[in-house]
Amino acid sequence: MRVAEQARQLAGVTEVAVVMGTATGRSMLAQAAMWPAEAPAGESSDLLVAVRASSEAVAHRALACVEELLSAGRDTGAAGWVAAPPRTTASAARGGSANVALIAVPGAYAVLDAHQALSSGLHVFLFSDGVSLDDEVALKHRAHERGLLVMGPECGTAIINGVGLGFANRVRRGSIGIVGASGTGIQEVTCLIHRLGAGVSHAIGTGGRDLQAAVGGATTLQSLERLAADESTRAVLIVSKPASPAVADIVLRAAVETKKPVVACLLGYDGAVPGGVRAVTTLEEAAAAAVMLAGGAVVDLDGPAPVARGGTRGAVRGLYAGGTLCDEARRIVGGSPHDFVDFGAEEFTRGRPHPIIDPSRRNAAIVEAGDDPTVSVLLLDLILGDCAHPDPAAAVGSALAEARERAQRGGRALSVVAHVVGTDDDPQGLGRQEKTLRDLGALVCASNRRAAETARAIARDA
Amino acid sequence: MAPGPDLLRDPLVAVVAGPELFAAALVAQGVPAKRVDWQPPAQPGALASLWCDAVDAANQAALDRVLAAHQILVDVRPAIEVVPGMTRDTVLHAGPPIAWERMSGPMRGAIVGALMYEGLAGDQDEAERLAARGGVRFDPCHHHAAVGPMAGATTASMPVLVVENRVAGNRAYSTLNEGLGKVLRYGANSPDVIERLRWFRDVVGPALGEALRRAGGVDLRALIGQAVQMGDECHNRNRAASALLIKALAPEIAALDLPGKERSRILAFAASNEHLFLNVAMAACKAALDPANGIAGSTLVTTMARNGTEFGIRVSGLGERWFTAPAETPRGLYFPGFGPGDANPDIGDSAITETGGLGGFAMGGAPAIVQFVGGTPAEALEYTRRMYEITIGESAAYRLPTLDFRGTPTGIDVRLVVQTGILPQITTGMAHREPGIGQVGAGIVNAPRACFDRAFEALVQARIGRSGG
Repeated sequence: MRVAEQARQLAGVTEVAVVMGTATGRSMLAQAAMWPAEAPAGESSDLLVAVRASSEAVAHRALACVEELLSAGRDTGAAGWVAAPPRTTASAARGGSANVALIAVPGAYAVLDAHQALSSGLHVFLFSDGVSLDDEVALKHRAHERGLLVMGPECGTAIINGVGLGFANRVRRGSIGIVGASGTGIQEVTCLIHRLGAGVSHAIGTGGRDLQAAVGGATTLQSLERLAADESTRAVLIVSKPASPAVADIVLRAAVETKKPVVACLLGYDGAVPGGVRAVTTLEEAAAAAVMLAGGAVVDLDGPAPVARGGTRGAVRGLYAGGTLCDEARRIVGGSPHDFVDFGAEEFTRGRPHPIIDPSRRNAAIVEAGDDPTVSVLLLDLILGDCAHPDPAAAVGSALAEARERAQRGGRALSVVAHVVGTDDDPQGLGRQEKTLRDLGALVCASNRRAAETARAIARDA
Repeated sequence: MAPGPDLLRDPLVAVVAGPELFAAALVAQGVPAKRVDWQPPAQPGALASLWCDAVDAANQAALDRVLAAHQILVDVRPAIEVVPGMTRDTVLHAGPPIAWERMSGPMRGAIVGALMYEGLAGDQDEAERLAARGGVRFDPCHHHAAVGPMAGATTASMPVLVVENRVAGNRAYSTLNEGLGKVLRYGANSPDVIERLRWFRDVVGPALGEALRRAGGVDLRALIGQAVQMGDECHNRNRAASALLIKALAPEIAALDLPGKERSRILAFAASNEHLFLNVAMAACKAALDPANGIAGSTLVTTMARNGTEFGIRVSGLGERWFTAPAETPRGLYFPGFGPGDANPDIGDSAITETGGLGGFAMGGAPAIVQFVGGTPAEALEYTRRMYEITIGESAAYRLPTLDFRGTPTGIDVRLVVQTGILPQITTGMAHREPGIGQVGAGIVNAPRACFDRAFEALVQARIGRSGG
């Protein structure tokens, strides 16, 4: 009766009856003139569903509604009962409307949870690292067969339908769709797009190895299909860590097939680019080109690059939380004597929180750099967002002061150049974080590219 | 590519396995996020190897068969006429296979009683000698589409319930319940016990069979569904189901061509036996589970049974193999004059009810059970909730009012038991460890973990074999 009452609420439905097929049930239907002459005999244990509606289509909808109400696993927490939390991803996925699993357990276990999510019909956002290439290939193959997407492993971020997963920033919604085999690469381009006044439809992370030969761009290709079909996406931006040239070629061709303007920033890729793809070499250019192709105004990032004053010639020490940001900066600044460390790399995160959450490892390295006579410029990224450290600028403050003091004791000047990845809508507030850094004596740049160029300029020319 | 949920269009609803901050960030953005109480399992690689499409499909097929079952109690017949493979010198018993030498007290007592009842032995000594020298054939009930509570002793002339699964077309069998007190299933074999069995054979069995045939059978799926909503879990609490069964059959029994005194005696016996329905529920569950056997790759548990010495399980994808471990002793409440030292280790095929989504799995809908097995109604709910963690389905027929009419947890998955360490919860009677004394109490017992670990290992090996790696 409860089910019938709910199905009756559908527009165009005048009556719904759900009764047992007993003699009593049948006579109830007959009295309500809902027992057609051609109805089959059936058994008393049958459940009879009768619908009177304005059209056949409406009636079918009502039947489907009854079916769903009858089969739905309920248990909404009777009588003040507090349900114990589910013990497995499989049981958490059951009986609800869940459509995505965010998995961030240690890598040795993450594959189990990811397979359980796929078994349950969920898309997977796989933050964990330490997943073998074989397991990644198997997961993505299985997901593809089931029409599901595996974002990851080692997927730092995604923005789906305006919702950030993992390390994501609060950026404006808009018409630029992003596919990225790079977490901090996606964060940088989404934040820059926001700064440039445009917005993001979706940003799909694929995991850093997606464009390697063994994985073959499995998730990237699936994502491009989805962005092609997505009406809110007017331009497509692909960003990746170094890719297999063969896979990059396949992906770029597939991108053209979206029939939407495409910007590609494949770090280190120098192969052919099909017509219709705008290839760029830095994340800042990628963001700017995407904004333009999506129909936005061509604007420059606010404010000129800060001018270096009073620096010392020497080496740049880049200490990064973001892997792709680190890679981009290294390409801009150059190799030895300059030196770069990615604290988000697996060797530093195994069994420890990511440096975006816990800055202690990098802070120690910052302090040590103060003792290194070759280093004249410290180059840093600070990453904001929902899951990041609540105040990363303050958290790096005492390490910076200590490093500069040590350098001073050694008779050297140590410049600090930094870029903050974030927006003013992030909980930490971009403006507040940048001000804190400036107050600490750092030169703050509007993009990672500008920060790297500034650091290089100081180290060379000071 | 099969169409999955539309990631870019549907509103996100998330499951989170990982640190709290990830779930909190989603909730802060207005996205529902259910966080897993994640604990690292042993053997994550082996577990992951069993989460694949082949196993999922096999489990779904097995589960569908269990959930689709429509069981009808159609008849009562002598075992020799209907139980497959039954012979005059066969004694069926509960649980996994076991030799006479290793049988527990109540099991031996029941077998001695059954041999005397059948006239295969004149007295206890002769019966024991006959059994010890291999003069009769022992075999698990489960190998003959049958189930028996406690000792489960079933012989040729005993009348058995015939339950037909109208969907799969198979049948399952179980003896008639003797009531409480001194009864064969608890190992009692005194003359009054044997006398009752003869009355079953000569009067009750034929009468019930005739009544059922005249009634056109009794729909057990509907009856159990109703009983569950009336507070039964159909293992240790069968009050409502027994009453409903008597209600269904009384008019036919009253109309039988028997002296009024006999008809009255049958109804009085039935009315006095709160566990009248137990054997019916067991046969109903057996009838639902048997079609789920033998589906390659499936990790679904199709049998849990104890012989008083060992606990054994069988798994759909592993055929007829038993995976056994020493039976544990239930913890619970004792009748006056008895204590933990008197209880025999767990015994009986009645754990088929838990295997089929009843018993301990349906405790949350049977709060009164706690007066019998111990605990509180809140704990009974918690037991049922926990069983959802190790099952892959929910009954469509048996729904719990206390859980807003959610179906009972059904279909134990070896993968989930091994991953979570949550063991199937069984409500059970306790037999005295000496033969002939009978029931000493009731309580709760877990299926031993080792059974599932062994089955898991076999499943992993079978999967490696199939994927050729």
